[in-house]
Amino acid sequence: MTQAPTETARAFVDAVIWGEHRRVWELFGLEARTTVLNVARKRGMDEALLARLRDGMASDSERDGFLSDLINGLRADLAGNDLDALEYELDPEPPEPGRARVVLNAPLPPTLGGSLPVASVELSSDDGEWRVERLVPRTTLP
Amino acid sequence: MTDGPAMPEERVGPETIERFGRPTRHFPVAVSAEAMALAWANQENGPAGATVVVDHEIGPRGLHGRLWEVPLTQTLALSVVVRPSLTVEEGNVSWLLAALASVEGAEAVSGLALATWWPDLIVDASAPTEQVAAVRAEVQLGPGKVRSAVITMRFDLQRLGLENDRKDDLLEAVVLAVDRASERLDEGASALAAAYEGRCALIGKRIKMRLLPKGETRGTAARIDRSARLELESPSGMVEKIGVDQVAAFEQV
Repeated sequence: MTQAPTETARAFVDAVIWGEHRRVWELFGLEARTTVLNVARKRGMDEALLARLRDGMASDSERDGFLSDLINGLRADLAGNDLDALEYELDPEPPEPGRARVVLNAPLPPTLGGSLPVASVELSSDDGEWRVERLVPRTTLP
Repeated sequence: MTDGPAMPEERVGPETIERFGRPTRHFPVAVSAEAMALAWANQENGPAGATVVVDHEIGPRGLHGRLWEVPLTQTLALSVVVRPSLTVEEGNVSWLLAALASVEGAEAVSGLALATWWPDLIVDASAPTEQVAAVRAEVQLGPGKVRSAVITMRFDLQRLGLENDRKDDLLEAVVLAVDRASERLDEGASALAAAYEGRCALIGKRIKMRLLPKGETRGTAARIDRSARLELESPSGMVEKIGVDQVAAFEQV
């Protein structure tokens, strides 16, 4: 592996918060891309455009519009956290072989100490590179 | 026996005088210049260019109710009624008009190099943290178009290096600058936005912005569009358009 999972997770979150939409797509693994396109299909995107996006044949405006919506969704998952202060911690127990989970921790105020997990990033190994498959926000249970 | 029903006293409105080629009202004390100008525009059909000057504003509020904290004794506060030909979508260009007039008027009198700082501030061009004025626009909409707008401008005389006796010079320079900016607006909202963009020190800066009602975005301030929205561009070319009403706060990073 050329880059640790924590570094890939950090690069992914940076790309989300700075709106680097093409970088976000590059960092996605096959499973993540498929999931995102399936969500788009369920929300009414037509099949031809889906195919163009999947095959990398969409026009710049089509791709940029789609990825802008994606970025906004990912930002909503991370909203409310101080994204500059996040700490990235590798979960010592991977979900399954060939995969990794990086927990995103937000430091608590000094009087309380410690940190609080706010999200996790699940990654898969793909041809020697880590790719992001899921961003899972940690929210309060209902 | 009486002579008949008593006639109501004739209502006496505020005194309107002609100054700098426009009707002007001066109040020693009022809620705000904006409130008095809005009343003039809406209840008395105040004409374009009608100007209100208030010495002591009780509630000098700016963008999102932000308080103007400069002491009243070193403040020039005025509001001007404008009646631009704008569509509803272009209404917020009134903010740009106010800022452009403020920067040009203040520069002419103070001799300082000033710049705009989207969406509502005027700053020292060499030190953008030094705020010298703030603006606000209240847009009144009609069917499919802007009926009128009241632009409010407040100047910090001390930061501009002006004594109190230069208030009238600054007032004249600003209202004449409002006229020039309004003429530019006749060429279209895009022309005014381009002129504003040319004076905006924020352009080219990387910023982190908190949004209303929630959320955050980051990018490089690239352009101002004809709806007065700031276009934030990401390193990969994604463009987000942020409206005046959306911005809670931002910082340079």
